[in-house]
Amino acid sequence: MKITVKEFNVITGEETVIERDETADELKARKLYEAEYAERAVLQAEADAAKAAATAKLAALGLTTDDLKALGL
Amino acid sequence: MSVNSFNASNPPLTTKGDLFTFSTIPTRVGVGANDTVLTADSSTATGLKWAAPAGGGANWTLLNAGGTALTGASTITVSGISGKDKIMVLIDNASGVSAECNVNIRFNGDTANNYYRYGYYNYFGSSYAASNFGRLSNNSSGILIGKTSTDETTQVAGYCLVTGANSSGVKVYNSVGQGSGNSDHTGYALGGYYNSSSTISSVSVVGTSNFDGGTVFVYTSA
Repeated sequence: MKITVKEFNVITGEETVIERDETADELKARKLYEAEYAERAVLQAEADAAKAAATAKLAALGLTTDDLKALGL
Repeated sequence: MSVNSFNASNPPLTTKGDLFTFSTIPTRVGVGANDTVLTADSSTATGLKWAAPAGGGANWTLLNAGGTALTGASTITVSGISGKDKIMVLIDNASGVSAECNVNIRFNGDTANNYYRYGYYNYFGSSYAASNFGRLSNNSSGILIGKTSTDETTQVAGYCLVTGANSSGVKVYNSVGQGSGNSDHTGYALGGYYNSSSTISSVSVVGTSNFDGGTVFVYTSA
């Protein structure tokens, strides 16, 4: 993957832009982030599904989340 | 009377504030200028000198006037830093061209896992999960500031303060930041150290996609 790097030198006032291949460290870091986000997305999807199922059960009982809040739950 | 005949009962003192010291012989050191302090200096005859006190407090100045725009690249570097012990990096509303842009800070272009971190993250999901909150206690390839949400228009704001930047020892930092958006954004509150013996000469703001908005301000103090 190509990475664009912009550098501003405060001594010379020069701004340079280069495009280079990402380093092995950068590739590793990017893969780690992607894996972390993918894992979190799976966990979030599971949490969302559990919430939807619980909300459906409440609705079947004629209750809403506001009813639970009123009970201090 | 030879100078070597000076002693504790006959010191070579002539003027208010004089100090009775020794080089290879008893020696007078005159009082220093107002607001200077007596400092050890092995290069002088007596091993002493009067000098301005080292600054106890920081004296911050903005290094990159007006800030540097975070656009057109995934790595924005402010270089040419020299002789500064403290560096404060302020990130104002950084946004990426892609959703979920993770914003990091690196020093000297160092992409190795030299950034040790201790703290926590908050992930704002669309519903609660225990994994939304957690601790970080390891090393990484940058200092995490925050991550935008799946909404591409969201932004990250935060800062990193590093001290010891002009020393050969490790550089201690603390940082806080947060992404914005309806959900899927992340914030971090970290402290730790940058494990490098090199003095810091550049600061980079690094995104997981190209930036398309925001500004980085770099303040320094000797």
